[in-house]
Amino acid sequence: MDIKLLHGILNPQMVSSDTATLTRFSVDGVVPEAVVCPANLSQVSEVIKLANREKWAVTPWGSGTKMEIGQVPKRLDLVLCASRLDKIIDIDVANLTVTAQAGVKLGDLQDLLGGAENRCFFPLEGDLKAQADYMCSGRDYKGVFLPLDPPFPDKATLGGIIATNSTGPKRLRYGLPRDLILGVRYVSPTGEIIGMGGKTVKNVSGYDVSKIMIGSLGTLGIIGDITLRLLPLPEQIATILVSFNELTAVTGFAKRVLNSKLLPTSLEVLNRDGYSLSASTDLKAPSGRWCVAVGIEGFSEEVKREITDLKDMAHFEKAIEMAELDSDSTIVFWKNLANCALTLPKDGETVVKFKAGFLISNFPEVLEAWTNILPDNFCALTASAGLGLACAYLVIKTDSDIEKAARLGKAFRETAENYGGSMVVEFAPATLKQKLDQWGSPHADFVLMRRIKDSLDPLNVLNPGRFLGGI
Amino acid sequence: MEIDALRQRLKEIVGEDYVLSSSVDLMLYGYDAYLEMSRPDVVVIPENTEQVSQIVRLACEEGIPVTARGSATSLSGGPVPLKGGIVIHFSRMNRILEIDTVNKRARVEPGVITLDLQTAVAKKGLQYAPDPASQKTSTMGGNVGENSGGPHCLKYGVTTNHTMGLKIVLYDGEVVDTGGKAPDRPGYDLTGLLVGSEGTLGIVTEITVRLIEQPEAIKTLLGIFETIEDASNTVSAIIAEGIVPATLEMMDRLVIKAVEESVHAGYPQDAEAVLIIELDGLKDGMERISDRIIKICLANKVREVKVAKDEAERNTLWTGRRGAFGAVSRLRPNYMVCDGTVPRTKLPEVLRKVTEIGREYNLPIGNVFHAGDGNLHPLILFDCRDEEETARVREAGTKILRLCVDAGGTISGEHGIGLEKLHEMSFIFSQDDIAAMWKLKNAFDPVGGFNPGKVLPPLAS
Repeated sequence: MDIKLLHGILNPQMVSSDTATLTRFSVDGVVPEAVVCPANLSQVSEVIKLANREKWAVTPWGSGTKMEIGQVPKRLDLVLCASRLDKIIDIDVANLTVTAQAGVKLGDLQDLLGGAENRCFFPLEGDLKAQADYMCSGRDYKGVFLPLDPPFPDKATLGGIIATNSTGPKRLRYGLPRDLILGVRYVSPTGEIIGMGGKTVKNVSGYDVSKIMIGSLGTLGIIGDITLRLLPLPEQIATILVSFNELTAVTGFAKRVLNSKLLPTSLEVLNRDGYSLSASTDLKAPSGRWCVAVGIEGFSEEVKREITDLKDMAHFEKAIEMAELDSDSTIVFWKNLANCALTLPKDGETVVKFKAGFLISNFPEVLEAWTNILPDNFCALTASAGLGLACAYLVIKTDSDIEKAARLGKAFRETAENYGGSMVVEFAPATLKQKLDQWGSPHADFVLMRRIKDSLDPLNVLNPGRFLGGI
Repeated sequence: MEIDALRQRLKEIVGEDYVLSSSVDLMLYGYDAYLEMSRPDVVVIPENTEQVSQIVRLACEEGIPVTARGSATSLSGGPVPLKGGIVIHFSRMNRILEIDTVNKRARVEPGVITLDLQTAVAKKGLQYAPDPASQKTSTMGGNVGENSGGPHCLKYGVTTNHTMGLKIVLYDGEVVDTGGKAPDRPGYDLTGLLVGSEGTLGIVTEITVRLIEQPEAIKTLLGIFETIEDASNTVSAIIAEGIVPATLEMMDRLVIKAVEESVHAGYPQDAEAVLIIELDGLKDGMERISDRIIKICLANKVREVKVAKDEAERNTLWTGRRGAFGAVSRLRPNYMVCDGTVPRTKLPEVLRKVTEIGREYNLPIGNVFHAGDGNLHPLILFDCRDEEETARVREAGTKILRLCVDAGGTISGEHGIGLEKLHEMSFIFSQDDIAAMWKLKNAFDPVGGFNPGKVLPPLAS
């Protein structure tokens, strides 16, 4: 690779090729030849056009929290990092939208949104004459939020969250990135700057291209900036923890909640190891083998009602223990759970994370099957009852446990597939990836995915080999 | 291929009775609720996916265009067979295949009428959220093709947010499933791309949708305003208060009058604007929220707020909104609906300018729209027998869309591009953007057989 070509389009401080940097930006042990951190989309566009001319393979990089997703790269010449694409372009509190660049960290954005002042708007923008013409909300709490709670909320970037379709427990109430995205501007695999969608809540002008950018792992474009829907911060938040010994009681309770009129934001089932990840020091471990955590958000009357009903339901299913978390503890509890993969491993250990989606109706069967094949040592299960999702976190010895983890992964996947679903490996060392397919086998619609990739990225410049089916 | 031979081959696939080719039939299947019409060479009414696959394979081999058609309530020319060829009509594929109450999913064929699905799932205590105003007639396939919205989309999202999976027939007759009942299948979100693609990427033969629990309580309010600005400001103020209602629907004086004369929904005929505000969810707290909304209305000089006391009163208020397009069509022989969308806070400004455009072109314009979404529907009234007037209508329509784009909005919120807005695509997309969409089109449909002439304008060479 001729680094000088990069110097022709970027400032020298945006291009690194020293060994330390290159090692830090290696993907599954594959070391790039250069790392570039462009400052705007035009520069990204120039870099990608150059990569097409030189046939370089390019991997986009946000803050690196999800770089273990995907197969080992087939080729890797250039890492394109988003650290300088970190501007928040527009927070429109009155219209409940935000536009920000891909490198903005979710935590930073949420902090800013949460403190956004009383949501004022202008009655007739052209006619605004005096301060008195502003109309401001009279409510006594303030702020808005982006209803996404993916893993590593403080570190994860918006671009990374979108590119990996990363979600958390609150998805039960608020949906996925695909339900929140209004527009995206990205650099295509051939280097053009493309804008799709905009700031309006409804938009059917042309194809909904932003949808296929979500979860495409940077194989169809480099995300530049994103416009997303916001919501007003809820008046009150709380969490109810309920513990059980028997899995049938757990699923009985979950079913009761889901068939009620209640609207919990999350309904997570945790095994004992799973619970240990989320508990903070002032929360004692529940005595049961299972804990169900129910997140509640809304107006104060709603929250009060939901707590009362949930306690009744738990009582009916003969819960062993119940606890109610106030708003501060609620925040800590869910944040710990979201960050657990970072805090788990010690020296010489690695975290492996499997994530499966399956039919909601088979939630009890999947959980039971997974429990039966769990290893004796540490394994945390966290499962979203109303969504048909389950995650398993294993801590393995990096050098000696690979075979075992691969066997376990295959067994987990078989279960998910038997119940109408699929499983992906979200965290794994490269040695494990050689023994266990990251994505599982593609379905018949893969023929379309292949054609889309070939049509948009004819020279296979973006992230070659890391996505489903070797895309 | 000779037309007669084509008709014969199609009869072999679907049976004698389900191939239509009389000149009356060809005319009837050549238009929708937009202004243009065209004629297919033949209309075919298949019964199942296998037959659709055979039809598409035949069309692909012979280089014949294929246009899918539901009830043709489309407002932008989506089902008009611009280049002739085969129209596939889905009236026989109208079965609800499954209502799965545990997984909260329904599987339907594309010819199912939207309201029929809603009625069927309501019997099981569930709800299919998208509720386009045409739901009594429109089909699920059409809703998917256009990514239809509806009043409740402010809170619940549009068709794409509720579509989990599709069965599609590809250009060469292959059949594949995208998405499905289970979440997070790895790979590109093909379902998300197909919804709203107006039948230009493939033919949908089965749809899997998400169902939700019916809300515990619903409260419907009607605000009656002296000016349209006051009503629009109320909309923004409600959202600013941290309240996201299920719907915020507005109608202006011209529409109110037409509605009252036709369906008697109880709107005062001398009001300049009415606003339908609906809350849903848990009953707890709803009283307090509704009181706050009433206070906001009062602060914005509302004349009166009516609260529906029961289901019957609620239905009456909604009858007016649902019947608005129909009622307006009593005033003049034709109307054209513009479907621009703007950021919500721009509504007062844009509405004022829409009125100015009406004055400038000497055309009556009524407004009935999804105010919470910032989705305008100016209805321009005219008589299509008057060619000069029709030309003015088109010009005024384009000007209104330009206005929306200039205010930070877009040219279609929920009615689609079809053939109506091909020209206006350049208002919001660069040549590179449109080229990127053409690449997707070519990946799905390399022979260009599906609904040619729609959505994407040709690239300037």
